[in-house]
Amino acid sequence: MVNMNVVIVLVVVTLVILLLVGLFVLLLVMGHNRRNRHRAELAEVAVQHAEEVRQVEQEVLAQTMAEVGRDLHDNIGQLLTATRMGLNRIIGQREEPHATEVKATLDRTIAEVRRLSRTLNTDRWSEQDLGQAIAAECERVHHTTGLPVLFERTGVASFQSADRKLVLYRIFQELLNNALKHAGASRIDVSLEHAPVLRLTVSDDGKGFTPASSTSGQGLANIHRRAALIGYHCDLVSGPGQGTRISIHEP
Amino acid sequence: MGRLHGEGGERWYTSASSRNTIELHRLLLLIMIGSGACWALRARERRDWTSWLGAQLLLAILVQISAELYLLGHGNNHALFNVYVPMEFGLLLAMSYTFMHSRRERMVVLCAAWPFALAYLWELLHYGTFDRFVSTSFICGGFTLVAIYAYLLVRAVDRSSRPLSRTPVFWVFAGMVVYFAASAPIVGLLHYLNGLDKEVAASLFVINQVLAMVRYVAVGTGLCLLVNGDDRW
Repeated sequence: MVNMNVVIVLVVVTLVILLLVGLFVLLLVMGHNRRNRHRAELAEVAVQHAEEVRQVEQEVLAQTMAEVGRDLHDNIGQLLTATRMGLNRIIGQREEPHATEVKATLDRTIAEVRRLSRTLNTDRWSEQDLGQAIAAECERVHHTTGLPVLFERTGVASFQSADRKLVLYRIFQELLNNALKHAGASRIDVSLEHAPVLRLTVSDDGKGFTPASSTSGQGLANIHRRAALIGYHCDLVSGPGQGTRISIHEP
Repeated sequence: MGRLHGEGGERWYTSASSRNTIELHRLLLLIMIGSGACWALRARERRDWTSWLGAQLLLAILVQISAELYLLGHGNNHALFNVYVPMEFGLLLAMSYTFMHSRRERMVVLCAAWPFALAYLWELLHYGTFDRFVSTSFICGGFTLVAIYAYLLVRAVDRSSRPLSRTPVFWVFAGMVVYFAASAPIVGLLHYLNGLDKEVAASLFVINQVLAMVRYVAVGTGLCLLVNGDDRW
């Protein structure tokens, strides 16, 4: 007969080994979970930090632009107005075609400087409606270039911060500028949807391009960077001969 | 009175315990086939290590079926397991080799084969028969595999960025460590216990069977988790 003590020892030793192995695996799992939690916390901190950096960038950008806007209005605007008054005094009531042309050009320049200083002033954006500003810009581009720039707006505008509206407006300007400069389009469509999420789309019927090509990289990267500043996403659909459609939208 | 080796070791039974032992033996075979099915289902997700693991699973299933046939013929199947043990050790060592990336690690794995080989040769020469189960070699190889797979387990845990329950290699390595670490005392004292009381020895060997089940369930789980080419650590 087998000694029962041997059997008990054998069972106990096996159980102890199992326990030790189980403990070893358990400690590994616990350590892994703790490390994963730590990694997740670090990732969260990194996201928060990136968000703070974005906000600071945005604030600095807004302050710089406001400063430039004020300078344009207070200095260059004043100088241009003074120039116009001086010109009026010199010309007087004489009807000279060249003088009239110069005055008209000067008036346009003053109007442009005012418009520019207004758009650069972030304080104004807290009151200004994004849709109205885009519509006015479309109208202006249409009058200046003669190109049909059609604007469509759907939904009811929800609250957007002044900074966000300014960034969206700048993106819109860049998209419009790209379409005018590079697309060779015969028509540009702009749409601003407020629901279900805010979506700004600029499309043209121009020559299009291959999104992956190196020449398109810088401008697109700039748009992506600006969209990321306010946490927006950017979708691009384009191809040679197929026009271009770019959407900036809330996630 | 029949005498039977189970997977990875041996078991003796008498008429009193034979029925339960046979049922456990068959359950283990079913679990092995289940793990093999998991391996076959994940055929598209094949890696270097799964090829070695698949070969080991196939071999284990064949040996288990052969052991079942030996059981019916009331034969001594020690020779069968004496052939299986070095093959299993070799296949598992080869599998661990595929995870070793540095030259030093690979040298360690290659050197780890020597103690087992020497123990195996010594046992065969010392006892002068192939009909006595090579338990010393089994323990020697088992501890070698425990050391290697524990190292791989720690490394897998260290490198895995996702939950371990969804990491295939975690299950495979943990199964190996649990089985080879805990089965050593039973297999080591098998001859001693058998010499004292065959029935008690057979009853105790049930622990080994259960450990083997745990191992193959873990291996099957790991293989099932291999999806969409994703076996990141």
